[in-house]
Amino acid sequence: MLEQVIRNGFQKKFRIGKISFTVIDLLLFLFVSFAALIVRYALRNVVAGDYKMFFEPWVSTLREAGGGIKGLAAEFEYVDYTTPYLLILSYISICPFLNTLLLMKIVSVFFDFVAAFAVMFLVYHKRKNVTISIVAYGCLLFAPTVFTNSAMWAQCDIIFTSFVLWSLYFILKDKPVPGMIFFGIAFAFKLQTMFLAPLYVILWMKGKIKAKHVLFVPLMYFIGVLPSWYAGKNLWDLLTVYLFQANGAMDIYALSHKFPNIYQLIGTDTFLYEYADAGIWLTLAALMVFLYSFARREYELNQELILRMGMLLTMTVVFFLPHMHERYAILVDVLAVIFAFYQPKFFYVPILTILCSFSGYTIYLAQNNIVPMYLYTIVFLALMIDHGVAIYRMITDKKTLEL
Amino acid sequence: MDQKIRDFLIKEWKVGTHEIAFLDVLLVVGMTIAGIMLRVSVCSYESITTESYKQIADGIKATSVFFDIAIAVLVYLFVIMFTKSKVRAMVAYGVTVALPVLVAGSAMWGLGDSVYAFFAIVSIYLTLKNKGTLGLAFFGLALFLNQNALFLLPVMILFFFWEKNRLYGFLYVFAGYISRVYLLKSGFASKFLLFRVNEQMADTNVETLLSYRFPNCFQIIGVDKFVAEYSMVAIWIVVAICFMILAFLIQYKPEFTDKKWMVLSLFFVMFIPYFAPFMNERSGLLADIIALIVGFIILERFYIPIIQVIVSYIAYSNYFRGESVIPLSYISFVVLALLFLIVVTFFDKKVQWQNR
Repeated sequence: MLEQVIRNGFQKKFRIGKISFTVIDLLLFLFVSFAALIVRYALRNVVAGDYKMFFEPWVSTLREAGGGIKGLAAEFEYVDYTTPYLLILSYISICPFLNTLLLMKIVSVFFDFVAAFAVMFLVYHKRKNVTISIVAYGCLLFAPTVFTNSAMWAQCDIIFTSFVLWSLYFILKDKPVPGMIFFGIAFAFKLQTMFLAPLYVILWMKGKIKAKHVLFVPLMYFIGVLPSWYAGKNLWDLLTVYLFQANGAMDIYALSHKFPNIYQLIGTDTFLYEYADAGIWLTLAALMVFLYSFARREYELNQELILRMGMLLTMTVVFFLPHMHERYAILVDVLAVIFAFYQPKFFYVPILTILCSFSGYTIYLAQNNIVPMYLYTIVFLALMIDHGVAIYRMITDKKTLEL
Repeated sequence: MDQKIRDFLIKEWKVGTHEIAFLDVLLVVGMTIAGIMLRVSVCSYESITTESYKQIADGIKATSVFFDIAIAVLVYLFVIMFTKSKVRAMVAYGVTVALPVLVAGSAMWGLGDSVYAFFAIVSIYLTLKNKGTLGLAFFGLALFLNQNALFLLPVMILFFFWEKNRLYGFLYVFAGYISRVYLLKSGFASKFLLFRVNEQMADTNVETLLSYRFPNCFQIIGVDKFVAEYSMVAIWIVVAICFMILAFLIQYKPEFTDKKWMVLSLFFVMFIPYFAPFMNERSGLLADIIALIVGFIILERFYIPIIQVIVSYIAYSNYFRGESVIPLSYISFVVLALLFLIVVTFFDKKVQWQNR
């Protein structure tokens, strides 16, 4: 009797609005969320070099300037973050409870969950299945590059990533306005959002978004810098923060900062200036080839193609651009997780992608360089080829490769 | 004359309900002798050189060898259950008796791992034979002897939802685990032969590492950094992922054949130690034996046990030699590829999933 209650009780259904779910779905969601929090709690005391070198001095400077909005008037020796994140840091600087490191991690962990919810909704949009969507939510939360980035390293890459995910969610739901607003918010937080910009060009070419929607990107960026302008900063300086970053002025000492890309095959420490310039042109050339191929042909741009193209285009950027950091493939990582739930037979894609991506984390955080970086690069390249071949087959509707 | 000898060799004699040919007996006797001689050849090796261990080494080794042979019989029973092919089952018995990881673990290393492995795998056999509660009792015993039996716990839980065992049977599992914890905490453990050897073994690990020469994810990211943090992270991730898999399967209750249960068992005994912290060289033993059974019942995947046993023995060899010829990080990628392969096999529609 009790056994039947247990066996059948898990399948008892509930409804919230249009979505029905079972007891086991609820238990799964609660347990996964709890376990994800415990995982992050376990990493709370790790202090990474970036925190000591950059974040701690920045927060001190913001605090000395008064914190909050007033803090944004602070003069930094060097800072490459835009107003929205600096504003968060500025409020953290005057927060009366917990320490700065912990507060920074809490903010990023909160966005881990924002991103995980976006993944859950994206997967539900495709599969219409609550259990699978919760499993996808869990997989995102347990992706090593996600929880390490936020809870261990105290980095904030998940913030812009989560907004990009919500942008994609609305784009896939054919709601380009909120889609581009979220993309604009992501851009206001981090320049790396632009890694995915080529995909939006394809989306525009295929009529998924209109040119006027793109205006939301500069608009969101402009709204993002308003607090600093209000605090007394020069508007031009605020609008050109990304130009300074794009110059890579701080990163010129290596062609790749522990990221498994082309420079790991040819050497990261020679021809620093020559290869840096050449790398930018090579990236543009590769993107142009892809964009031409994807835009010129006639085909139906379905959800799988959008994800595959998003991954390939972002991978192309981080593979060829110089000065890439360990964390710069986080967009690919999260897209790969979603893709595996759209096309389960490609379950290996997120595992290998995250494995490559995590290699740099290991070197940076633990100073462990066990497997040579060039091997990860080869796997990364193989994944790019896999995506390229699959996209070609999908857009030409061919089972085999024919040029 | 020649033909008469040939006929005699393959003529089947009725012994009880079984029909046995002389050639079958010859193989069993020959392989058993070969297996024992294999063990005799290497039994002079002393993995632990303390006096207290030397006193019990012979007893441990003899017990382990006995259970090695019991495992081989068990593999025979599995193969006959799935394939009804006596020849294949005999070959499986022969291969198991001479399995390098069993030989090294029992006669060379002198650890009692084959005892718990036997009880753990018996529990699957009994459950598939519709004796699920007895299976849980044996599983509890395996868990009492070695916590690596926990790798099979998800399968035991799934058996419950597929009505293959009873809820009260989990009391045995609970009792086994609690008794183990109590014995270890109270210090009584040192009075028992099998616990003593594991205590001795644990004493040889002076440094706390995320993986003790076992080819898993920690060999790729590093075994000696962030030990406290990563160990907690890994445990929770393993538990959460197992829960996600269980929840998904319980929700949709796909149809499972006996062969699918074996592949699923293989997945869990490989997946859990791949991501769990503090695994030692011998943590792949259950995977070695179940992989062997899977290899014999799904012949298209014959290479899975070959690769798994090689991988596992490289870890053993790392302990014996103090270093590995091939870096364990590379071996860990091979194990990851094997895990991929097992997942692909599980969903492969071309595999003949029904028993013969």
